[in-house]
Amino acid sequence: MNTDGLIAELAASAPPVKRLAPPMTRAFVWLLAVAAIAAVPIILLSNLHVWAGRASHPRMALELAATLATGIAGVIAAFHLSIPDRSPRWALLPLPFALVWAASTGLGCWQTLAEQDKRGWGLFQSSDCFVVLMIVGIPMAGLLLLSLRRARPLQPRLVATVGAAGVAGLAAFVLQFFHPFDVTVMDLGAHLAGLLVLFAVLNLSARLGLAGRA
Amino acid sequence: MLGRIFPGGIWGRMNGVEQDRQWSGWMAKAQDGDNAAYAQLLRGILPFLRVLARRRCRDPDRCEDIVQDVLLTLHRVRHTYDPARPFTPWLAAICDRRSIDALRKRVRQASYETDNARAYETFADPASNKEVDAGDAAQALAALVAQLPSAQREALELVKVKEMSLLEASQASGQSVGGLKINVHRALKALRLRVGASE
Repeated sequence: MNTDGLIAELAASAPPVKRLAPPMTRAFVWLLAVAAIAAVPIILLSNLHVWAGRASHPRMALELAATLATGIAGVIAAFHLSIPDRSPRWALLPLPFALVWAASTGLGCWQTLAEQDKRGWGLFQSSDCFVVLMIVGIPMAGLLLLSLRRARPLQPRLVATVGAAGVAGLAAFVLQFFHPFDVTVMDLGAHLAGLLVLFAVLNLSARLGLAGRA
Repeated sequence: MLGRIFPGGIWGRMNGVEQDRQWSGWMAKAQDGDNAAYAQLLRGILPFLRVLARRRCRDPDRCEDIVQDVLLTLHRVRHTYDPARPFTPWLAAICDRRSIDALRKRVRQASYETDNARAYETFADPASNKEVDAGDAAQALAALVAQLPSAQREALELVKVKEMSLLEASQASGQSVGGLKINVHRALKALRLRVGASE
């Protein structure tokens, strides 16, 4: 088909469309919805007193803040990247927070290993961490995918990767409410495995779900 | 950037900000369902898109493919444009993305496809030109089938070409099952005779 014919066809089949809200608005609405949903099991099932005690420790407070910031930054960046004219540099937004998160967790793990030599290698409840990450992360990933699909991103891989980083951060933050002990080496392994699985699942489903739509 | 794209051209005569405002206005109307404004916009952005596409592609045909791909993408994502923001960077981002996609596709294809001009040559031995001859044979056969009586032709097409069961063919044609069998048999016999006669 020649270009003039294509233009005539497109112009003839262009019903009114509902404009997308600005990405920042969409990200905050999404984050608020997820916070409201996550608040229910946190309030009902977690021990907030223990969590508050752990969070009062400076290193733990830094880790929690960095984890949450990675999640929020990842989600905000994914919503921005889903719009054609936004800078690809948005993808770097979660990176500094993720580095602080990784460093803080690594430090905590090393301290546990040094203080409690044998316990540092213990499996304990590491498998529970993995299960919690999946239970929290997969529905969250599905919700994010549904929201991002509306924009029909031109770069589905980039959007999926950054969105997956955001979901991983948020899921890890929620996990801390159900994690009343310091991270051991095995814990860290379970966390990493959970986050990687979550990252891979969202990345793959998002690529499949977002690709070819624009 | 636009001044460099259209030096002394339409961009030279028209202020870039003004042009962007006009495109943005047309796009906002198009989002509200104004098809005339949408057609105006798509025609108006064509020169701009062609210049952008030519920056990444030398082949004019491929450039036009990219331009058409950009138009289709713009159509699909037109709800993502925010009229409060400039239109040109939004459009340029789509064009840039589609140009890169086209380039990647071309590189990917080049990695597993080999252009062999000799593959299209025919061979001196007529028996080797089976592919070419197959097309000619199909045409000759179609001409012979067209000469068959209509009942035989219909029976042959339904049972042998469309591979319907006798019952399905009977329902489709209104011929009885027995009649279909006879007509298929007669059609094949007639074709064999005519093919033999033509050879």
